[in-house]
Amino acid sequence: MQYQRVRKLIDIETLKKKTVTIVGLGSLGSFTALLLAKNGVNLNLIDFDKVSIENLSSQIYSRKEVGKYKVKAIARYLKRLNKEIKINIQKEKLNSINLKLLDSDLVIDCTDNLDTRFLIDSYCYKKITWIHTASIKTFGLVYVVQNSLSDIYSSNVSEDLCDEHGILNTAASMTASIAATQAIKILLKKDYEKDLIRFNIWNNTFDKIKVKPLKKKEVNIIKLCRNNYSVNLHKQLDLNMLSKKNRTILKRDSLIIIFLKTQARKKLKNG
Amino acid sequence: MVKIFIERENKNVNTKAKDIEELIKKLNIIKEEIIVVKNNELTPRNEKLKDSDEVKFLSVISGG
Repeated sequence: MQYQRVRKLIDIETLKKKTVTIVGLGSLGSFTALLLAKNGVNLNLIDFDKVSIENLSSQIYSRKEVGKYKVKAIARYLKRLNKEIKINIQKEKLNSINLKLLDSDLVIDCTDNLDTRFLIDSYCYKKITWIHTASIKTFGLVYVVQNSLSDIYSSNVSEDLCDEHGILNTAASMTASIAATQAIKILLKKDYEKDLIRFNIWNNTFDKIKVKPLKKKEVNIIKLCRNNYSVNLHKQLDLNMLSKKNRTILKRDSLIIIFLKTQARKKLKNG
Repeated sequence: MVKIFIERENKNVNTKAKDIEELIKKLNIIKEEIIVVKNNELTPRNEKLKDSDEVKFLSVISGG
């Protein structure tokens, strides 16, 4: 009975067999998870962050959940809404050594930074379909990545943060609605929008932008630069939290990436 | 003339330029903060321009 109305439009039985990973349970992630859960999709939720008082206006959490892990708070809420779905939670920050957490039928990036997005890109590239979403102020963006994130962003792009510029919950929830609709279409093997969707809800502008794949050489350079940056970041932040074995792997990979990056730059310079 | 929209300033401009890179310099745009769309297609910075082109300098959206 709970799916009676939606069943007229989509194949719920197929959706019940699918699992979607959502990375980031902030404004975009919390609304996206809510919409997919209501449609019977199983969820794999990844976020290391806790609910803070500033989150309440743009995310689905309540005041009594402040201080609790977002993945725990949302899993409890979604279970109350739909007992039938399976929810797996990962209370972790995504990094270069735990990317297997993304394994599922589809990944939705609801993070707030390009470094994590490039990590997702490096793991999902030609392996798992993934949706890049972003929202800030009154803007929203949704793109089912057809090739690589490097087709949109260069290695040195600077980012605006929601902490600084704010986010309107109507922009976040509209972005989540578009992303969840794209996800349902992909899971049901229906035709979905392949252009980048970008809107400003404040002045009702809505653009569909074509994205051309970059040449493979350029993609590799951008990925290497980004990965190297991420590895350096992990060195500063996470090294002490890793096991001895993982520390050794990380140090080795970091050196390999620096070497590859230098080689790639030389190759590009020499044509 | 190329028709240009600069989203950050919510401003429309008409001007001449041979490529996107020249436009970025001419209009003092910080290139790390934008993506460039020419005739509704994401465009590299070295892309040549012709008179009827429409170029949008859109801000990078990164939050979540």
